[in-house]
Amino acid sequence: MIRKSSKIIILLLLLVLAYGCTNNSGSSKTDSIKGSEGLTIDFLKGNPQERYVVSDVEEPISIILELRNKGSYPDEEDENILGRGSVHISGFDTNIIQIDSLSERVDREFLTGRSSLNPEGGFDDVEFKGTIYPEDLIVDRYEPTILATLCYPYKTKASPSVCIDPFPFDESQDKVCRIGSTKLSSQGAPIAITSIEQEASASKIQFKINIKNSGKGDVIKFDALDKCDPTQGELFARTDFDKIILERASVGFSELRCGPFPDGNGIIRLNNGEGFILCSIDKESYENEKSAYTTPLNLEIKYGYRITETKPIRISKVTTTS
Amino acid sequence: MKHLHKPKLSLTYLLGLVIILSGCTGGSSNKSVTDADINKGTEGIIMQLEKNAPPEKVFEDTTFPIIVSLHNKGTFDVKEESKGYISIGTEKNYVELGEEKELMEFEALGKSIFDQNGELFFLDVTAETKKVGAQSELRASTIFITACYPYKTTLGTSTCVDPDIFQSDKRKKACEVKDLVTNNGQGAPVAITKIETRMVPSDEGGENFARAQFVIHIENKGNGEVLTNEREKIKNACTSNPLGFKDFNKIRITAKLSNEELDCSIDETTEATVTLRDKKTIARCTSLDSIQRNVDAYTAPLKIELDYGYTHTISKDITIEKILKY
Repeated sequence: MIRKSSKIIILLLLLVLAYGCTNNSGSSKTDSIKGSEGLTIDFLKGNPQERYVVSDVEEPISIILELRNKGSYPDEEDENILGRGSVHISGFDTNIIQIDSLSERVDREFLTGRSSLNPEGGFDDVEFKGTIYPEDLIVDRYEPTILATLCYPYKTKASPSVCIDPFPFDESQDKVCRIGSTKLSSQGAPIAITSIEQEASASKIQFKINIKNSGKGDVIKFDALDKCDPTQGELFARTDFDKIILERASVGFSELRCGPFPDGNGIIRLNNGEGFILCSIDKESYENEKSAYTTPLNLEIKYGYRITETKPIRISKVTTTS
Repeated sequence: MKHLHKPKLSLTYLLGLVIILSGCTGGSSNKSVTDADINKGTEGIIMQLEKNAPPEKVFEDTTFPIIVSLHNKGTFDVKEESKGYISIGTEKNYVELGEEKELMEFEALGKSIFDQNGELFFLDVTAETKKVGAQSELRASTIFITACYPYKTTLGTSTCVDPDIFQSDKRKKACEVKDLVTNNGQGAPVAITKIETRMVPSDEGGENFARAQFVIHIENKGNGEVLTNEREKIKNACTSNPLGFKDFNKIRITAKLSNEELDCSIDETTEATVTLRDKKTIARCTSLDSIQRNVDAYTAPLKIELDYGYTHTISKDITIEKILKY
């Protein structure tokens, strides 16, 4: 009886172990470029503490933010523009909590994107050191919420296969591909290229490229990134939001002609987090081809992005009997 | 038989473990001394006559005790420069107080984190009845006890200051300007029931500056009357000295935002005093310093203090009986 039950237990254990092993397999290369996050920000546990009890003497305070690059940009070949990003903290009375510097630049060196070699992506810490001054604490309990804001530039790249068919209306041929729509998985960036809708005419092929803000933050015009920092003294305007720059749209060696750009050259506008751009390739670029073929459509967009994180803290005055 | 015992034992052990574990979790409390919230309640000094002191029936030409309990259930310390008065009123033709004075001073410490109940003390006075008269066998009389004391309501809270009046800045904000409703009082008979927070354009510095303004709703939630906080007037309320109607329902208000004094006066010449009507009033306090509109929203400490005098009276009817010989 005992032997039988022992065997069952051993078998169950083996099953559990085997299940665990399958789940712990390493990420494939495909995994490394998925996801809808770029840089992320989080308060390091205990920095700041959830509560401070102060007496008459000054108390040090440390706010440490952990920055992680959970997206795919930049890879080894990319120009790293993350250094234009900045992180700043606010939300508290600066008479009571005095921080040496309320704003810090992002150190691009450590924030490389996820890749097959570095599936976790790069990370860095930003520390804000300061002092709590109890003499300005006129209440027994002061409960501010510390707001950390990270604004950074980012890029989304996608290379979906599209069908180039020089004779789109010829049904008599056997073709390796047909003009149609393609849905894309996420690209390891907060702004995702979600789908490509293809349409062909006798003279050109048109691509409707759909874009969506899949992240949890706000899209900021690339040139307005510095307005994120309140110490710069500039305020955001409504027109500084939901703007994306189309950096590249090409099929093979042929650049696509894209539009409309109501806000200027190359700027795509998002509406309720979604937008699109129409690009086309003229028949001259593929008229020498005899039959349909697939080729990558190389797309690259650039934008600013803003995310925030909050942490409530409590500062209490210690009451003594003296 | 042995096999039957095993499950019983396991069950007993399991139950034991559950009891021990539940005991462990319930035994400790995370609340520290500093966490104690004593600034609540709408009571100040509570005055009560002890049972049978005075008794309902007393005989003529005898002495009887009057014992009053005074319990400071609020947060303000009635002491030293802010001591209170208590007076005992009797019909002098029938009841005379002994050696004790009719007007006495008292001190009573309020609640603190070290004494979360506040100070309680008893006032023991001996009174003496007089003859009820040849034509009567008994006489009804009333004993009044009046307390008059200065008191203070203090509210300390955190409030949101957002100089972006029209919410035109699309920057993310750490806090939102909203009203604060405080139904539980602040440990004083006069309570701040609501604070409306608003940001208004500054008349200095142009459109790029704003000021914080607070509309403070005040209510007398106690059973007594509010007096001006002048020491002499408070004393007069416990004596036969006259008080004018302007001496009642007056509250002096002071407020600070981030350790900066707010302006709560109606105009530059008057002191920041408000008058209760039907036990209620509002005060408007505005920051003197302008805040630049491009400053991020932040949470700032706000402290409001109300200074006033307070008086209330309790009474008890007694019957003085003649000692009949036959």
